[in-house]
Order: sequence, then C-alpha cells, then structure tokens
Amino acid sequence: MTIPRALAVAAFVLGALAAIAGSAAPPSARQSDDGDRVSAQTLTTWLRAKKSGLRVIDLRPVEAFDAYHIPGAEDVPIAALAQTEFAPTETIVLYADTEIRAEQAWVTLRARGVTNAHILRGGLAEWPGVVSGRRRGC
Amino acid sequence: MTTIALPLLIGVAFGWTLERAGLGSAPKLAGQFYLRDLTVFKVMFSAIVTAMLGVFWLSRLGAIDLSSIAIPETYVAPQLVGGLVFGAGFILAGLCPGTSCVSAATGRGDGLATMAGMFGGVLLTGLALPSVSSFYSATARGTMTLPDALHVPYGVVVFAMVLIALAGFGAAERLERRP
Repeated sequence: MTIPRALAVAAFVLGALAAIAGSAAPPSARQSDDGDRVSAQTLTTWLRAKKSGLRVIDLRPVEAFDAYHIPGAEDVPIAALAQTEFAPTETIVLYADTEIRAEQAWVTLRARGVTNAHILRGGLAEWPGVVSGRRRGC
Repeated sequence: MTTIALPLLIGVAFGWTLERAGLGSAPKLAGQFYLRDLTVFKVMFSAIVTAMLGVFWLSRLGAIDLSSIAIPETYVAPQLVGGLVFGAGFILAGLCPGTSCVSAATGRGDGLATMAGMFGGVLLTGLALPSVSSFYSATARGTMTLPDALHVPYGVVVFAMVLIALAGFGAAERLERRP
C-alpha cells in the first residue's frame, strides 16, 4: 500500500470513528472567556457584583449610544480613546456593534501600554437585552 | 523570548514546508486554475483534514480545550466580496499572501511584486475604511461553525469533510492524469 493510500485509509477510519464518537459538540466559543475577551455572561456577572474598577466603554457613535447602551457604560468614540485616561487597577471592557471596532480599540490601548482591556465577545449583538429585543422586532 | 522565538520557529517551518511542497512557484499555483496541477488543493485540503481530525480527537480525549480556540466572526456580504477580490488577486498573481512571502523569500521577482501589491492593497483598504466601515461590519452572523449552521453533530461534520476531501483527492488525481 502506498503512503498516500495508507494516509487516506487512516483519515477515513478516524473520520468514521469521529461520526460514532462525536457526541461532544465543540463548546460554543461565544460563551467562554479568554485572556482578551469576556462573554456577555461574565460582564453581566461583573455588573451585578459591582466589580471594583470596572469600566465598560461603548465605542459606537453618540447617537447609537443614546439610543441604547449597556447599563453603566461610558460613551467613548474610538477617536477619543487615545485621550482617555485609564488606571492600571481598572478592568476595561470594550464593545461596539461587532468585535471589529472593539479589536481596533484594544490594539490602540495595548499600544499605549493599557494591558487590562477586554473585548466583549460578539459585540453588542451578544448582549442579552439587545438580542432578545431584536428577536422580538423580527 | 518565547513569544518571539516560538512564532518565528513555526513561521519558518511553515514557509519551509510551503516551499518544499512547491507552493512558492507562481506557475505551479496558476496550474490549478487550468486544472493541470492541483498541488495547492491537495496540500491545503490535507492540512485542513489533518488539523480537523487532530483538533477533534485531541479535544475528544481531553488533551485540548476547544473553548480556548478563537473562532473568527462571520460577515456574509463583506466576506463574499473579500473572497472574490482574494480569488481575482490569486489568479492574476499566481500567488496568495502566504505563498507570496515564500516566493519573495526565495528571491523570486513575482513574489516580491505580489507582496508589494498586497501591502499597497492593505494601505488603500486602511485609508478607505472609514467610508466603507458600515459595509465592513454588515450582515454579521457572529461566530458560526458548520455543526451550528447545519444542526448536525460535530463528529458527523468531521466525517463528511473527510469524505469530501477523499473524493476531491481522487478527482484531482484523475484530472492531473488527463493527457
């Protein structure tokens, strides 16, 4: 048996076994936290616990902020982020409609030496109140 | 030191492997669009299947935690447009971003030209971003995976992808053997 054929057989066997053994669905990444991202669930817990030094930063335009924002969030458009002071003891959570703008802000802060910033996983779309509101509107 | 050395080591190994597979050569890569040389398809699909089976079984056996793997978000319309632009550039240059780096590193002029074009495109996109930012984040679907989207168990999707890959390899071999 040639090496490519042997590898094909091995892949087939491992794949077939996966179909049988694969009851373990991949954990949904949006529910979990990692070093730079926090889930909506974690942020909710922090807000309810009134976590010391927590600052939630809304990066969207002021009109969007006025229409809706996460309770306790500050309106800091991304252009104003470079002038905003952050203390090393603070825990910063950045969010916008999606993760992209928050990632840009995270990079901006990291370049300034702010290392305690997190991105809200999934952006505002993952925030429970907004999600349920949008679903009602559909 | 590890944060610099390890990525550097992985990058060099990746580049070396691409070069050894012949993927630093634009004529070889362009061959896939004429169905003459499907090396790119076979190398990439082999890598996908290897990584997919590795991640599945290492997770299933408790060696890795899948929740620590970041899944890029899906933006349907901008990613479709991005895919078309990427494909057009791939056909024009005969190289994709990774292989253009390999090609340039081995001193090929077309690799250097492709890299110059790539960085020019990145610069132009960055400059144009404020005017296209609404489209950039349009049709957001969050972090989608095939098992989520198809409502099919994870292991079944893994098996289906293996079957698709094996069928693709067989078809590629037949196409390459054509007179």
